[in-house]
Order: sequence, then structure tokens, then C-alpha cells
Amino acid sequence: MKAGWIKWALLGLGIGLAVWGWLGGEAGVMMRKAIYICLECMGLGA
Amino acid sequence: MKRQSRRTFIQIVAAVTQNAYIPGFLNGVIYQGKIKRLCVPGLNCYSCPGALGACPVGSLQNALGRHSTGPAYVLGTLILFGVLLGRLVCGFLCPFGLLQDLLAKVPLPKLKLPRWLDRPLRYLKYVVLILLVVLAVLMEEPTFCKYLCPAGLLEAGLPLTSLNPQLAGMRGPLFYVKLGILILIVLLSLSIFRPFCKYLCPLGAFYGLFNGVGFYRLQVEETKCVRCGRCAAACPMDVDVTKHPNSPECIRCGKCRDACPHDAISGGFRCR
Repeated sequence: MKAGWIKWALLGLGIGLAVWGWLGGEAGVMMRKAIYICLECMGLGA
Repeated sequence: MKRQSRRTFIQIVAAVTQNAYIPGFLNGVIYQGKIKRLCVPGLNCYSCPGALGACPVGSLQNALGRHSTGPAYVLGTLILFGVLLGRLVCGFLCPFGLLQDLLAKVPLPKLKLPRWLDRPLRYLKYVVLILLVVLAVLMEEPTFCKYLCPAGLLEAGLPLTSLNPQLAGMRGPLFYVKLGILILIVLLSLSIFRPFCKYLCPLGAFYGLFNGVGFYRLQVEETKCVRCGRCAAACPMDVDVTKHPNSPECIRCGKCRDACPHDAISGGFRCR
């Protein structure tokens, strides 16, 4: 029973944060990072 | 279709769907369209030539401290995946989990680490999760991707340096260190079930926190359970399901449900 309200609160928090970040343009910034080949991910350049 | 065959089928469909940009594999480039704004649920490098979405771990590190809303979008998406699915993501949707599952099918003797070693090592993934956040803020670079992530090398480093001569020329000592880590994890996966998920994956650590409070739950019916212990013996993540059906270690593979002779274990989404 304890988890009953917690999951709904977390669901609301998740949706709220995701929408806030999306509207704030974070997804666009993230995409600009993600569309360049990530040299770090591949262990290159070091 | 049996439960484990169905799970493997879903894992393959998920891995293929997340990496469906075929021109990337043919030309040694990566997808640069708008779907990259979306985070995928599992560990899937966004520099994989086929990747359509963004890896949540890489995105989280890049977003930390670099935007007015902080990592709100990535964190919100991770919380959504966590509360809706928990570690069901690990069992069904993560391509690196699929790789380890396939390696575990190789008929070699299987090892179980002794409890005194296994238990402390399980906490290592939480240390990796905390370090990932702290170092990403302090060093302003994706340290997990750079120094540890085997999926990045497997899905991005190896295919892109093979297909793209310009990138091949950039291979340095770090590339070979990461290659060593990848080979080690592959070799360990032949004898130990999902060693990366058990001991190192920060995403699994994060989703595990939601197993106990999320919408997807396992339940053991006390009236049907005869305490035969078959479920615990069948669990590849070494969870005693009768005691901890929603343990942070459970990846929801369903092998306990297959092993139960009395159908005492059920799983599903519960709103209450």
C-alpha cells in the first residue's frame, strides 16, 4: 500500500521534469551533442 | 511461444528498432535526425552507426551542469522509464543485456561468485552511478562513456573505426584499454550471468531503485507457494523471489515464474 502514492508521485515528477526540460530546449541541446560522433564513447582521441 | 523465447524475441526487436539506421552501417556515419532528441531506455550508444535515439547515460552526463534546466529532460525520462518499467528495461529492452544473455547461452561451465565477494560487488554499480554524476559535473565530460562503457566501444568504436579510415587513425591507448574492458566483460559473460548488469551498470542501478515502488510488480501468492526453492535456484540474478519479489537486482526475466510448479508467482502492472 505504501508504494501506492509514491509511484504516482514519481510518475508526476518524471513527466514534469521531462516536459520542463523539453520546453526549456534541453532536448535540442542534447540532440546537438548526440548528432556528433562521440569520440569519448569510442575511446578515441586519447 | 514460451516465455523465454518471447523475451528473446522482444529483446531482438528492441535492439534492432533502436539501431535501425541502415545507411550508418553502410557508410560509416551516424544518424543525425530529430529522433535523436528522444532517449532510449537501455544502454545503447548514440554514436552507434544505426542508433536512432540517444543513450540516457551519455545524455545525462552531457546535460549535467550545461543547461538552464539542468538534466531535467533526461532525468525525467529516466524516472518515467524507472517508475513504469523498473529493471524490466534490463530484461527486455537493453541491447547490451541481450548480448550478455546470448553469451550466457554458450555451453560452458557457469560460475556463481561466493556470497562474500558477490554481495559487496553488487554495490559497485551504485558507486559507478554516483561517480558518473559527480565526475560529469566536475570534469565536464562523459567520464563513464570515455573510460568504462563497453557498449560505446562495441556499438560505436569498433564499427565506425572499421568503416571510417579517418576515425581509425585516431585509435590511441584509451581505445585499447576500453577494448580490454570489453573483451573482459565478454569473457566473463560466458561463465557469469550478466556480469556488467550485476556489478557495473549505472543504468541498472538507477532502474533497480524503482523495482520496489514502480508500476510493474512481481507477487508471490503465499497460499500457493510451498517453499520448494525452485524459483531462487532458477534465478540467474540470484534473487530469492519468495523473500524479495521486487528486489533491485531482479531484471524481470521470468525464469522464476517458469520454474514454479504451482504458478505461485505472477507479474504485471499494478496501479494500486
